[in-house]
Amino acid sequence: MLLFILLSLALVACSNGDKSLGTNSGQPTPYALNIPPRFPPATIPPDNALSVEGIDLGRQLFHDPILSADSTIACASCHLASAAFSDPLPRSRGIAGTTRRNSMPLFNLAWSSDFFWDGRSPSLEDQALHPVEDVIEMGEQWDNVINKLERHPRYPALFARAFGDHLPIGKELVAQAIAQFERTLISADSRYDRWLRGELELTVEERAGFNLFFTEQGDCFHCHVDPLFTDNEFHNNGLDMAPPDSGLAALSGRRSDIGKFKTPSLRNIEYTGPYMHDGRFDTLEEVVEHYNAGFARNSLTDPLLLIRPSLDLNPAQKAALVAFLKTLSDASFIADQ
Amino acid sequence: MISIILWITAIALSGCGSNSDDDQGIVTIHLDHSVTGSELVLQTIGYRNAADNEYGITRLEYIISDVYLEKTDGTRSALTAAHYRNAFDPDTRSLSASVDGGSYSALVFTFGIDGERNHTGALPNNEAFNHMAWPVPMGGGYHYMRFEGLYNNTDSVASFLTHTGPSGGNDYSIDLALPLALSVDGDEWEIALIMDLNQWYEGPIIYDLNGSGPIMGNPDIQAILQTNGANAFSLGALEPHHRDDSDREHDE
Repeated sequence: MLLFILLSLALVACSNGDKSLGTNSGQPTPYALNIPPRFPPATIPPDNALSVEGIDLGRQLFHDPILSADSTIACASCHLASAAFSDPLPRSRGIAGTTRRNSMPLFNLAWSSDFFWDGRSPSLEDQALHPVEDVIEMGEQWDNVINKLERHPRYPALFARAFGDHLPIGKELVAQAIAQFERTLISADSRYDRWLRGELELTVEERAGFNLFFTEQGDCFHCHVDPLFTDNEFHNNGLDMAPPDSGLAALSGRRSDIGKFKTPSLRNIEYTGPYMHDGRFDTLEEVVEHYNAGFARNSLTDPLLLIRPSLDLNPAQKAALVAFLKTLSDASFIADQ
Repeated sequence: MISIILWITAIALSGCGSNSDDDQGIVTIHLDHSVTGSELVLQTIGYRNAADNEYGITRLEYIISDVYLEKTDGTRSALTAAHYRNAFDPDTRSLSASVDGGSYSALVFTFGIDGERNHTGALPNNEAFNHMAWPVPMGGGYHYMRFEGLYNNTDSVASFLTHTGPSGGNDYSIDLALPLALSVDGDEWEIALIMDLNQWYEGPIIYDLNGSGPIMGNPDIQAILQTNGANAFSLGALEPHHRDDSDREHDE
């Protein structure tokens, strides 16, 4: 039976010749992500395959304030391309005040999981549903959003192109389209990447920073795992002796999760300040100093930090570490958006 | 395309044309843990080792590789090339494979990856194995184990990072052959491979967590842990695989 199926599939594939899929009967055109060298396989949910039309719709929705109650706030209002899709403000401005946490950067999300700083969304599709009904961020009701989209001169046709068989428009399709667009935000062409590809040389200082980053002396690599520069896990990095924001613990209910937040990627870190979940540090120098000697020490702090009294980095080493972090900037990613 | 079809056809025909696999069975290894006989409870400080460190566990990840069942005549049936285990993630608990029929006398594996093959990129490119990367400036390859936690010292809480791996470019992986008596004749078996965590600190060399600090760059400590780790593993009782309702549902 297996042989028959395989042979049948092979014959069907041969009979299609080199026709592009999706060109028939108005079906969306499949889109394949360009996976960067050294990146693991991407995770695309089978019920939301990428399409050219879906990504285009998602891009338009992402930039359209139609999702907010007073049509002033789009996703892009707090996720600016120039800031690697984060916000230069410590806490973003929504329609009814400032958000609770710093806006997270958006890239390489096809290799991520457990979204938001506290990981409360299991998928990008779920994550995209939340800001609309958040009273501070967009303050809108999904029913109203759907009504606006259905009456819009352009969106009904765009949804039909992207999701032909799945109409009518619903919040799930909006979230799917936005998630498709977000998965195309891939950043992997920093000076560090090009150095690894043999296309350029890092400076002596940047090399020194690289060696600090990837040895126990700086010990950044255990959480900021190459090539994504995140472990997609949650850590308490000693920001407060008594964290005012419980982070992951609000979901898990475990005391040991108090003050744990998702490890952000360090790619494009030069563009994504201010830093930490509450945007408390303005500069990379402040961040490095926090890890060097400034973190809180108690039973909630991650063992990776508690292992030593201090990193004991001298000023030249701290500068080298910052210099290396800036090699993770992908100028082409910012410019292309 | 034609050559692919021929290759698939050849494999399919070779599978259909022989009854020699009738005595093949399935063996499942469960990677379990204990602390001197007690069941592992993550996060809680409450274990004590021979150096009198009272400790708790916040992370336990490791790799075993070249996992085989060995017959009495020395021939082997491979179970897996490499397996990642995270004690926090039940999805990583077990590995299963079809094995030839016959009498097996040992479970053979390497804790970690042997030195020759432990280089960056040797394992499949996925989040789990990448998580175990041993950085290139420290020689490259993969951690064998990341065993982390907290312990009470004299005046405050402190942490330990028992990270084992190819420190200084040396090979500290551990080759193990655990005896068993398993007869496979078309049936399914399961067995627990149990790691006793205290053995890393006392089996037989006493290792004091106080002041241990980062150890990835310390070949002397890696050698101690290699010696102790060789005594950390044992096998539970062999049991025939019990098919549950979900198995039956699946079959139907």
